Amino acid sequence: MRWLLLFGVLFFTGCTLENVKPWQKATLAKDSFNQGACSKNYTKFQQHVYFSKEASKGGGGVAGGGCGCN
Amino acid sequence: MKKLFIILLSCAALFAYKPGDVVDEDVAKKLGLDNGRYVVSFFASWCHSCQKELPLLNRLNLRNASVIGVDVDEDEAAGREFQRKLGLKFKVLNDPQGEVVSKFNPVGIPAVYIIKNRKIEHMIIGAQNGIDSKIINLVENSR
Repeated sequence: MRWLLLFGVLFFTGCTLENVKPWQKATLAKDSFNQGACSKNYTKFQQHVYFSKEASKGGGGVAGGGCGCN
Repeated sequence: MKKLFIILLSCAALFAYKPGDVVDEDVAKKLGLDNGRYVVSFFASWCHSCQKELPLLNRLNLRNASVIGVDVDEDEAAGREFQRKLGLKFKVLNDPQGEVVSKFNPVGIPAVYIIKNRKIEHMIIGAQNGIDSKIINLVENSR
């Protein structure tokens, strides 16, 4: 039972990643991490397609700077 | 076995400072805390809320407390440039390795801790409207 438990703990935690802490989110807060940040035309086109298919728009952005404060 | 499981589950909470906790001697030394009252603010240049909050902290004129900033930018040069742009008047500790902030382990930044005699009195996490008046109330009304 103990060996099974030890195996289970090692197996199930082996693939887990350490959580990114709020103060480590500098890269995630960069503008380039916003959807469509690289090309405004691409974003415009994508939003046009989305609007024509879904009859709704918006909801593509995120609030805040990724610091977990909002 | 149940005890071990409970201990493991509560480990994450144990490693974060909360009101009532006493700051480690090592951390207090790094921050330069002695027996006075301090307002310790954690911020970063990439945090939009910090950019709004810091000018308010910069204008704070507390009678019985000092403000200390902790810049958690991993890019120290960017952090220093950010501080220079804002013209911060209070003492700032650069913490690129996260040695100090990892001890406090706030769930988000900006994070403000009010500390007296190395003991955490209050904790304000996240962006707050009128943070300056909140801090004044907390500091001036508690003796």
